[in-house]
Amino acid sequence: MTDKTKTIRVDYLARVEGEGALYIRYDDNSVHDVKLKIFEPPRFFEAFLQGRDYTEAPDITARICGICPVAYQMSAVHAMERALGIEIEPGIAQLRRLLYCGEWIESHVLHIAMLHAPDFLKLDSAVDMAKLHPEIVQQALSLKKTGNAIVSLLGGREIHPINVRVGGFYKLPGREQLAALRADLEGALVQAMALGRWAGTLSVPDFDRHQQPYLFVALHNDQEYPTSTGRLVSSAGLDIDAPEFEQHFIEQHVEHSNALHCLLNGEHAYFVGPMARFNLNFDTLSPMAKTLAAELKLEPPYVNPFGSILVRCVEVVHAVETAMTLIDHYTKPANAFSAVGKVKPATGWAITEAPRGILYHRYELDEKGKIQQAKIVPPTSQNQKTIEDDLRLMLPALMQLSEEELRHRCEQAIRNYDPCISCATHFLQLKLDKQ
Amino acid sequence: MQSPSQALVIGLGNRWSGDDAVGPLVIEGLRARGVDSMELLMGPADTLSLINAWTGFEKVVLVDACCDESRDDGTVVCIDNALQNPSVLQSLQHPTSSHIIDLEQALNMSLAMGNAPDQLLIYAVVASDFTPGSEPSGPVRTAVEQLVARLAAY
Repeated sequence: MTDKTKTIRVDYLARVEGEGALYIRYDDNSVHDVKLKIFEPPRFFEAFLQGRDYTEAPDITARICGICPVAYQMSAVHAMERALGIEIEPGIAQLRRLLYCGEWIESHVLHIAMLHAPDFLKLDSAVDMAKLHPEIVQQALSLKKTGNAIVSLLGGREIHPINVRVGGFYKLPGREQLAALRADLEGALVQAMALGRWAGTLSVPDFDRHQQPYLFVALHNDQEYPTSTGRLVSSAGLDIDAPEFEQHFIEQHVEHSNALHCLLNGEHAYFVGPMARFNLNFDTLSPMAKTLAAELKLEPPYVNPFGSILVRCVEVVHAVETAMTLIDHYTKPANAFSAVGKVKPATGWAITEAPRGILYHRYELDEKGKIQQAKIVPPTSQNQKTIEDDLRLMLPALMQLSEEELRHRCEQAIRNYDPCISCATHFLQLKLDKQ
Repeated sequence: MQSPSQALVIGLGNRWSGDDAVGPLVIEGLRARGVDSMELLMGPADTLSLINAWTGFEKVVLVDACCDESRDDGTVVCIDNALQNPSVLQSLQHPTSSHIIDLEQALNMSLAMGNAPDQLLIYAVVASDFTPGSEPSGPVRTAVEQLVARLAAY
């Protein structure tokens, strides 16, 4: 380092899930190195699963994350059902979609109002948000309550649900319980639109990656905005089924992170999550979600990651409206679950859309249905390289900012992705090193 | 909708982790007695839910297990109005995921939004064995029975 070396250190970056650090080495002319260092210890879930029964995967993997357990359950059950050739009733698929809507609502609203909005308002915490914008926080809490209620009803409890099983559910909700939920959703839709309109008043920093455009990757389904079904597509024309995932997406160990980096063809960073879904599936958003998107002047291709807070708001409206539609058309399935036929050695794959992006599961089963091998690729590990690229490309235009402002902008850029490091290890100290 | 004068009793803890079952057991005990003068809430896993839950109540009673090596297991510690005692509030800090706030943050958010209860009463039972899958110890069970009787008499 030269005498021009300058270091900015933040011991802990708040409002992201998990433990990690960011290191940036730069001078007045360029950025030399960006490392998103995830030091949260590996959690070995893939190893835990070995030798366990196929029926246990949904409940074990749900424990990976307290905010997106439904995603883990959905990827697990879909993979197992694919392995064992189990067909589920359409009504079960609809209930699973409703459950996923609940998780999107609770996860997105928490991030929008309490983790990310403080960045735009130069506040330090959710408590500061509550002091200065109590009506927004109260509205968010009310919305989150509705999301929690959906997960509680269908999942048996609001965190780490226990009612999901391979083939369906252990117990189905009654018409009356869903009707009560439907009444709450009416109010939630009004609140979701209001939250989106409020988010639209926030000052969103400009950031255009025209020199290195994003590669968006998401599920795509002509019939519905994707949660658990569809093919995996990209903004560059990729179009594959879940079993082909590992032929295209290669995980790599990097020295500075306990989370594997996942790259397309082992080379290219890509972007999963709400922005990818929005850009690749705009047509299937619900009517009110499209209305909000129009009010917020969001249309594909929308590529400013700092606007991800707005896209999440659109997805909250979509999830609430979709939940209402699903309840309106609900007919109780004849059976809570489809029977499992003869268990056989098999491999199953699934990709579903967690709030933060695609979640890939693969399981290899033996003749007794015991898991021989499990592979889980969570969204945050897929976005790691894109986050590093954002910081590398963003910083040269921000050198006039004070170190404190620069540090704040870096943290905000990371939170654009709502990273869940606890999932990825299966973040954050920040160090800026100016030479 | 609850009457503003009603109290809300929240039992925190894990029914299946030894002495940590204090809160859930007290709620179960009050329900078994058919207590209807108070709202009862089995500790929500999502602490943010507490803010919605206690909005509108003048009085909230939190029941939980606590660790205090200077006291015997089963000792009931009563903190009369925790909201007026910053050191008590600070003691409610607990390292958690950023996706789940701790009790102090929940209370501070409620105070900031003006919907905190007027009175927060904490009953904490001193406990020491939180082995997953185990039952609460004898002294803790006795304390639970005493607490149920005391709260039922409100």
